[in-house]
Parts: sequence; C-alpha cells; structure tokens
Amino acid sequence: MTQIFQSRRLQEYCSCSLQSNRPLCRLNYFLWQVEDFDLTLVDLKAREHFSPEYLAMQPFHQVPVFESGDFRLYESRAIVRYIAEKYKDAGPNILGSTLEEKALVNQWVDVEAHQFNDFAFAPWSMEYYLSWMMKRPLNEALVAPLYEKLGYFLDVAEKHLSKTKYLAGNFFSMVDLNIAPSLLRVSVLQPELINDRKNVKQWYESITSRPAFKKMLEVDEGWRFPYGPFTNEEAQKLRTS
Amino acid sequence: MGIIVLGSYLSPYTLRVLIELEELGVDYELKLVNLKQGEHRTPEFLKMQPFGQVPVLQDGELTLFESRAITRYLAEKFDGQGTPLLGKSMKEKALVNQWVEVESQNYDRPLISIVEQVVWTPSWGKTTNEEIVAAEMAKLEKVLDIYEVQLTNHKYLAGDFFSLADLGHLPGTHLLVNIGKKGAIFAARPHLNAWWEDISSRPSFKKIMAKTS
Repeated sequence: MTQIFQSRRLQEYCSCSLQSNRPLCRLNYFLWQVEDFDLTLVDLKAREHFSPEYLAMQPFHQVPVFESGDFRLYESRAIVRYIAEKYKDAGPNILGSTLEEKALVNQWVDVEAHQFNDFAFAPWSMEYYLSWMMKRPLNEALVAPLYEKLGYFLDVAEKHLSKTKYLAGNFFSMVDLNIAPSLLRVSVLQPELINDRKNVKQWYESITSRPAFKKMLEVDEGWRFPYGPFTNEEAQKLRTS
Repeated sequence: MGIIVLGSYLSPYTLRVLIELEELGVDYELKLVNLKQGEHRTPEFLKMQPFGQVPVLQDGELTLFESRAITRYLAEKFDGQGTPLLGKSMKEKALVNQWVEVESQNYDRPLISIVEQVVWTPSWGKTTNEEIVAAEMAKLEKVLDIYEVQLTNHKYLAGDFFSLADLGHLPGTHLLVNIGKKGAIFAARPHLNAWWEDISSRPSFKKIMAKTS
C-alpha cells in the first residue's frame, strides 16, 4: 500500500511502520520539519525489497532509499546527514555547529547505533514482536541480559543528561532524533526503564513531544497505541490489550 | 599538547584511527591500553569511556570515542592537510557517508564474528566454532558480491577517489585475509581483490601494520 504526499523535489522509499522495527521513521519526521516529499511504502512482508527493481536501487535489500533528481542515497544515517547538511540553515541544526559539537554528535550517534540499538534494543524489541506475532511466550533467557544492557545504557544517559539538556549537548541533535522512535517502544514494553530515571524521563518527554515526531506517528498506521509517555500501569494495560 | 590516542594494536578500531592519522600526516601520541589485563574495564577508564572500549581520542579539552566519530572528526579538522578523505561536494560526501555506514552495518559485523572465531578465539586458547564461521562467511560473501559490482564500476567505494569509506575497511580486512587466512573469498572476486591490493599497498597502512607484528 502506498501513501503519497505532495512533493516538490524529494522522493523516498521507506517502510514506515514502527511495528516492523525499522528505525527509519526518524528520517521521515525530520524531513517533515524541512520540506514535503513523496513517500513510497515498500512492503517488506511481501519481500518487495528483494525485487530486481528494488535491488537495482539498494543492493543490500534494505530500506530506506532517498532519491532527489538523479541523486540516490541509502543508509539512513547517511541520508539524515545529507539532508541535515543541505538544510542546516532552514531548520534546526541537528549536526552541531562547531567541530567539537559535530564530533560529539557523531560519537553519540555511533553509541546509539551500537551500544543501544545493535547490542540491546533491536534484539530485545524483536523478541517482544516475535512472541506477540507468533503468539508464543517471551524468551526470558534472551531478553533478561538485553534488558540489563538497556539499563546500563540508560544509566550512562541519566548521568550525562544531568549535565546537558540533550544527549550530545544543549541542543537537539541527530542522536536524539534517531533514538526517539525506539524509546517510544521502550515506553510501552518496559516503561520503568524510562520512568525510573528522572533525567531520561524528562529528555524522553521533550524529544517525543516535538511536532514532527507527532506528525510521523499520525502517518504510521502500524502503530496501535497513543503517543505516551506511559506510566507503568498504563503500559501494562496496553500490552495486554 | 597534541593529539593523544588511547588504544591497542590488537584492536582494529584503534588501527583505523592510527592509519588515518598517518594519511593526514598528523603527529600523535599513542597511549597503550592493556586489553588482556582488562585495563579498559577499570573505573578510571570507564570514566572516560563508559562502555569500556578503545580507541579514545584526546585533543585538548575534547575527549572523543567511537572510532568512526573519531575518524570523521580528524578528517574534518585536518581537511586540506594530507590525503583528502571526505569527498569534495556535498553529494560526494554523502556517498562517502553511505559507504561508511555500509561498512559499519553490513561488512564489519560478519567480518568481526569470523575474526573472533578464527583469530582471537584460538589466541585465548579456546576452540573455533566452525558453524558460526560458516554462517558468517556465507553472510559476508553475499556482501562481497555487492562490493564486487560496485568496484567493477568505480575504482573505490564512494567513487573514483580514495576516502574514509575505503580506509575504514583496512584493519578488519587485514585480520580476515592476512591473519585469518580467508583471502580466497577476495581472490574469487577480481575487482574486489584489485581494490584490496590497492588500498593495502598504501604507505600509511604498511607503516601501522609494521608496528603490530
């Protein structure tokens, strides 16, 4: 199924469902802050990303792909960097202004990618998704150590956020943008991870109440729940609904 | 006070930064972190790098970690000195970034799993898990097929210029091909192999490799 928005120049192929665990909606909601674009949905369930047409665009059969004229780019972080660079005077500068600010943004972007996403969040949330989808019990032995790692990352964030308003400094940056959709999932699945950490909770509320983020959620038909943040009791109710 | 790198010759991520410093012609001091003795897990180290990993860069007041963030910082700071590593236009820069991400997401993961099994595990006196090696090799070979196509059409990954994207592949691939003896999968792909021969003949790479042996 395809959704088309009025576009001027940009075209983007994306699977925009948080249920599919693709952290690419970050890209969409950033774009909405800056300019309209065409969104074409790629049906991952139907393996559309393995079709010859798609592979000609993105040979690693991944989403998203960004097209502007005859310029084509893939890898979400590379795309976000390109757009952020191109429009840095038009909207919030999410890359940082000085050399040092940029370096710290890049550091935290990579920390989020590896320490948060690859080692903890992605396998943890995938297990929840699979157990829900296949109607089987959660593999506790799998999620328990991943939960610990998530907790450790958020402890580091908690300490850091006592010194700065956002992760990379006192300005909203690419790492806050990247992590927000994942934290929304955390707030449904195990909200105490967020709620029990004062600075993390405040930061979470701030980054998920941005207009572009809300706009992204409105478009995502795969997302069943309201926005959050949720209390532990509310999340429990949502999970069992 | 100049640039300080805290790291280890055992870490391909440290080596990536050192090779780049050579390409840029930038002086630095290397402070060795003893990974075997767990120096990267001490409270002092964790204060600097809370995830207990090398390398860490210190440049004046700035402390920076994550090797690709460090290499981006250095490439930007010393742009105009030594080898240009980022591309000239915004679009070239974007393609460099794309292939840095490809290396990080698609290439490095199976590669490090294989290296862990065939290089590091035996060095710890343990047995290689051949099932993991086979599975990860299959994944890596699919990625290498894509690289072969890309390198048929371009001399380097992001275009016809050597960049940070190519540089990032050097230390890990060295471990896989030269130490892990898995070079056959490169030899079977002529353009990939030519690219590897080219980038691994760079003086910066040879200089750093001489220090690791």
